[in-house]
Amino acid sequence: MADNQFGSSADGVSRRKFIAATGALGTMAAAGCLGSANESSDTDPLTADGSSTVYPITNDADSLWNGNPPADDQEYWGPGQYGIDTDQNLADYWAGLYGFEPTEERSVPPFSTQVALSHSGTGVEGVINERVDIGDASSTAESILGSDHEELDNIVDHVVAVDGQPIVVSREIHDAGVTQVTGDELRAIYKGELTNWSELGGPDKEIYSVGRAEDSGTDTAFRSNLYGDPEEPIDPDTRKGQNQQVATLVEQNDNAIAYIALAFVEPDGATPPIGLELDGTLYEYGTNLGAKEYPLSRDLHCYTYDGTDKRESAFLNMILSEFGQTNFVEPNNYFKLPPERREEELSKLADQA
Amino acid sequence: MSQAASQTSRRTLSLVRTAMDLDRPSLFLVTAQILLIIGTFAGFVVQSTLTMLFLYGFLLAAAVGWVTRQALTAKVVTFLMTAATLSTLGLIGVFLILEAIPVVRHAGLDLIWPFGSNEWSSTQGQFSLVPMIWGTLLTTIVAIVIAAPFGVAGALFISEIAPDWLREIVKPAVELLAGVPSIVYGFIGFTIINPYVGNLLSINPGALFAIGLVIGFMALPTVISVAEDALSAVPESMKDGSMAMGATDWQTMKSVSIPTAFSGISAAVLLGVGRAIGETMAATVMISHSRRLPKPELYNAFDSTETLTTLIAASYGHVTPGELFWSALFAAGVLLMVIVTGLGIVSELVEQRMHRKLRGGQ
Amino acid sequence: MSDAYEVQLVDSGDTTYERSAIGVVVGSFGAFMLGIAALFGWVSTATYFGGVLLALGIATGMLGAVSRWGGVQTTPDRSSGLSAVLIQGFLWTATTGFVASNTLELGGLGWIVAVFVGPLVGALTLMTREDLGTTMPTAAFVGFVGITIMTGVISPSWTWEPTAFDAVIPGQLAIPLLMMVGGLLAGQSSAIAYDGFGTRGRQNGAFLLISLVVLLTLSVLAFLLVFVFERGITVVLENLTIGAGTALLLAAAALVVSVRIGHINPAAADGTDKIGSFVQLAVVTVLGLVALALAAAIAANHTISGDTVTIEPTSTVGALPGLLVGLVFLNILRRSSSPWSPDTDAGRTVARLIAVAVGAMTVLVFLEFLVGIELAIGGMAIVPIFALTVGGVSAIVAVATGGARVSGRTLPTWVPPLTWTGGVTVGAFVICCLHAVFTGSAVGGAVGIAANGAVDWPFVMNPSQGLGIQKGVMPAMVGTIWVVLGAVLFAVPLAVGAAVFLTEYAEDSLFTRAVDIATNGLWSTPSIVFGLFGLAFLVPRFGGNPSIFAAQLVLGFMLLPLVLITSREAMKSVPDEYRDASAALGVSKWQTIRSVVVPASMPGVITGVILGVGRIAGETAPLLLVLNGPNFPTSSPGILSSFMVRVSPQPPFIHVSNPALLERASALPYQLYAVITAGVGAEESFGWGTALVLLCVVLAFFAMGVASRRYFRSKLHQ
Repeated sequence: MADNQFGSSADGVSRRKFIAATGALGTMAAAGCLGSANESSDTDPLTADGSSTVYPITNDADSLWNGNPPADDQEYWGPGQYGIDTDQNLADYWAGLYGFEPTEERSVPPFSTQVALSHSGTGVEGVINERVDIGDASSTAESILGSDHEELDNIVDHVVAVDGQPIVVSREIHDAGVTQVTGDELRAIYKGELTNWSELGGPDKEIYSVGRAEDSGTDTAFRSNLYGDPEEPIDPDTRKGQNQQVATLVEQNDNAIAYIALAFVEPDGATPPIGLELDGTLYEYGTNLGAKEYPLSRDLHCYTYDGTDKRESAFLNMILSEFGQTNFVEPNNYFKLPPERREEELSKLADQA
Repeated sequence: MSQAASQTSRRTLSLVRTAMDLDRPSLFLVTAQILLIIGTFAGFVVQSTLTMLFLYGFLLAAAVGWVTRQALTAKVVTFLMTAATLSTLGLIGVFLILEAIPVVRHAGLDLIWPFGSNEWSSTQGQFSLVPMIWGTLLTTIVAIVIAAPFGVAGALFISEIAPDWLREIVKPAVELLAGVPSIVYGFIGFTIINPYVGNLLSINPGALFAIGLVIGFMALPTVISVAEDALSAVPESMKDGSMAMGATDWQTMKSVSIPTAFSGISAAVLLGVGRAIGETMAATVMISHSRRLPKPELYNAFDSTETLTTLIAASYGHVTPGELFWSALFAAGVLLMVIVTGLGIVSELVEQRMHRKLRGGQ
Repeated sequence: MSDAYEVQLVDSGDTTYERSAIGVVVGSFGAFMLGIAALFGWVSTATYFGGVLLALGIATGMLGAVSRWGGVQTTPDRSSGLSAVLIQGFLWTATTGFVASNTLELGGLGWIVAVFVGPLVGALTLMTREDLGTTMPTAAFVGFVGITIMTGVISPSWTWEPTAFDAVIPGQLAIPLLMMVGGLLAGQSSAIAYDGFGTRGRQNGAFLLISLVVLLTLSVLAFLLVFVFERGITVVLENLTIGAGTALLLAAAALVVSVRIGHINPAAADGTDKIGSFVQLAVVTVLGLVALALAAAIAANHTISGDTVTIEPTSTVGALPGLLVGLVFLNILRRSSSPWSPDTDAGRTVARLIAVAVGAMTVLVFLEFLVGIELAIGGMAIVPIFALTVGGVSAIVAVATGGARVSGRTLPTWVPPLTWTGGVTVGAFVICCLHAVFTGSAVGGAVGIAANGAVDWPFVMNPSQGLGIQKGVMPAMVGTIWVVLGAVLFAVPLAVGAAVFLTEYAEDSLFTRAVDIATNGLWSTPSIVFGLFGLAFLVPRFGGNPSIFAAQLVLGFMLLPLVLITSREAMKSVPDEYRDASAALGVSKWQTIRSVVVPASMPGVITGVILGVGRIAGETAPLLLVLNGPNFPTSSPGILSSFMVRVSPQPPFIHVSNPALLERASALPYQLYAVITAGVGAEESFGWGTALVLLCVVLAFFAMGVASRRYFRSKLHQ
């Protein structure tokens, strides 16, 4: 062999030089294909974080925005269907309203967006600490932070949709006949006082009550609306961080009950909703969950800090438009904002260019 | 103690003498390097803008020293690297404790005192780590019940029973088991084990028992490798002597190898316990995160609560720096460090005793 | 130890007794496997399980009875020994207690009865001869359980609800568990009986149990790997499209490599080597067949597709795969190259020409990398044409040399050896591939090198989210690569430097002992604590957000003790003779370290680094806290292109920054966690695919580490 013990050869290419050369070549090749920096721009990406309830809306908006499909893509954009007269790409159009230069390239928006998933508490804290631009919350900032928090005056509340928070049970419980529950029974279940489905007309199984993390908007809204106090101590059998995990649990078990967001309800699938009887009125999915009087319904918020700047306005304008409400809110089963509320929200955005 | 003290004083004296023997430029370079790196570190800790300046200065001094006084620079730089390694553990301890202080001031001994309220409710300002400690204890017990006997049996197999060709297969296989990432175990536990156990036993998913089983399997390779090292360290002469007396292999193992290597085996089990306690991801995705003591009985391992590690991993997204919840997470971290370091020290001492016994016995 | 030990000096093979004992052992193993199969749901629990147990019990009892009264020559001890007593006593106490208090509804009274019965059985075991004492109580227990199951007292629909546990233990769980326990007991007893009781017999029993435990552990491992593979492989391979030319090149390369590293001579090998060489032969044949099939597909222009994997009959080769293969071939050629120092002038000129040509090609390609565009004169790209000429010439020479060697003719001395010309040809190929990579333009037409598009592997190459695309793990893989790379660059020099100091310079003192303790402490610290440390110390000082840089440092801290411990051992194992010899030659201490100790310990250090990387690549907990990227990222972090250097009047006057390093990102294990967090549901198959990729990456590192350790160890022992 040409190499002696220490990897250097008498003549010819030594092993060490060879490895070094290979490494250098490899790095150069990697640089050539791995480095995909944001060709887009000097504008920072728009970041959003927070509620798992609002996530389906903002995530759909984010993926469409970053895809920047052209105007003739009827499936994803097709502005003519919404009465919008333009042949610009999606993100180019919506950002162009606020003065951003179009890129006219698919998958390259004027500025990119990133939406993270945690829950409402993190979202609100994040937007206050300026860690993210938009903080999504499924409960008001007052209920999450406390009504005397000093930063409450500095955040702007943008409501993008309405969620009628239904109660869901496992498929087996629903099929066994438990299709509605009263407010008192629900209160007792989550306090740990009612423990068997047989007490509610169901099979003889333990009730597995699923809750959410303590400072998620869904949980805060639930407690606030059902018990009147957002800090009411309740005792669910388990607490999960996001709606998605709750849906998985309801599916995996045959004795679960949970409060969840509309986007995760499957009436014919694994998470069927049940009716809730409160103060004499029966609120049922598909009938009157969107009614203003349904105590468990809540607004879905996108908070911004210190006013709303151009990027945030461009993004939120898209969500609040007819296009956005039809493509992001409706498919996720949430309630679109009625036109008067939409006007109100649009007036909070920055002035268009 | 006095021996260590006299040793240290002798060393310092020799160090000073060496320093005085150096010529001016070398002394200058050495002091410059040491001072600059201390400056860099201090600047980094207090987040000053001068940090990078100090760093550049250090790099410059090191480069100059490398070119002019290479051997000396090498010695100083490697010494600084060693000091850095030493200081890492100290840094971890210090910063963890610093962040944990607020909650300790708020909750005091209630954090770990088992006879208080044992409530954990972040919205109501109650931070008792007792349910978490209890959860860790239960899962670790189940894990050790699996890992200890299986581990010792595996170690015996590898070191004594298996023929050479089988050993070549089993040893890497055990190391492979150690290499599987814990999140993969967690994923399997979440998608397969939790529903299966939940359906079979009609309990809520995430039983501490099932988690203990998974963690036990993860701690198993640690126990096997360390115990196997201990068993291989038993001198051949002792085993040969026993065989010469007419004992069978098994009798030799039972009455000679295992008692001799007992300290090593206990050290292995202790390390396995440490590994089980520190296991995070597999438990986090399987457990139910309801932060209370198990019902209806304290020892009900089929209930699902929370452990110290899962508390930290599951809450990371929910807390903002500075609030009490944040501080409580660090308190849990400090507790973990104390327990695991304690176990490590005990197993070190046990192993040292074994080495002394073996060496003294020859 | 040696009482009643009548050794048969001549073992005349297995007697009927021994054969029946083996039969019972096999039977109990079968019962054990039946129990496991029932637990997994492959077999449904039924009452015939009880029959199996009953048969086992009777058989075990027969073994003992025949030994005691049947005239078979065995060597039992006078008493059964303490461990058997304890086991039986515990077993009978528990069983009697459960039966009495639950089935017979005696409650606490039942346990009192048990406390009598158990020790009674223990005493009986103690007093009887070993052959009876080991088999009879076991037989009675197993038989009793068998009868219980057969008569339906414990049937598949039986339940037990202990109030303390709030769980329902069904017969479907109890029966398989009882089968396993019964199988174990009967197996142990019959294994003891096989060697005629006594010390030999007990050894057999113990070995059986231990081997079973190890078998169980290993089968769990195998099951895990197979399970993840089976669930994940369809997702990972979905819509994979590969050009036949590229596939052919890769298959050919694999063929060459496997022929080189294997000893394909089954006839001459023996033992395990024989099996190994057969395996190698099989691998080579398969690869050869695959290569033939691909060549045929190209020739016939026929697309091969199965499931969702497609092989297109293009004859172009992808640039990156070509680069990879070329480097592998170069390494092989370099290994087997012999020095060539020509004596004639002509020879020397040729050598110089080769060097100049190779050098020129390399410089041109490097220029192209720096400048970023294709160097061309009059519309014709220089580099490919130059490289093709050089490569073509050397290929012709190589073929001629090969032909000459085969036909036995001698060559003029100025013809370079085969390995050199072969090396130049492959080198030219590599240069062409590099050209394609750097400039993005293809080389050649229908037969040539394509710049990209040769391999389309959606799962590995796509981002995790985007309009209408198949989800992939590219951002996570890139994230893992960068984080691991950063950790290695941070930790390895630090650890190696510290190891050098500790082994060479420092003497045993308080300082070294403190470092030892600190290293051990760091090594056993839980990973989540490292994450907390990163959160508390690093994240606030690097922008206040989780970032790639913080993750690199945290994982570097985790890698530090691993590499430090292995480096120290590697340096300690460098024989002192090397250092002494070096000192004898008058070399200074530092020079010795630099040119003797460190290179000699490099193999051990490299092995340690590889194994350590394998470990940290799979760590999630610290990444949760300090990397915390989006769940389904839409793009990979672009780090190499984001470096910036500025000069400014404020301290520290020279700013080196890389904003991409301070962003959040995702990494492979984190991606898997994100799938679980986002609610597995629709994403479960994506999760399995990610798990498979993660497992493959970690196991690849691990395999490399083990292979390198074995390689270096064997080299050391030569």
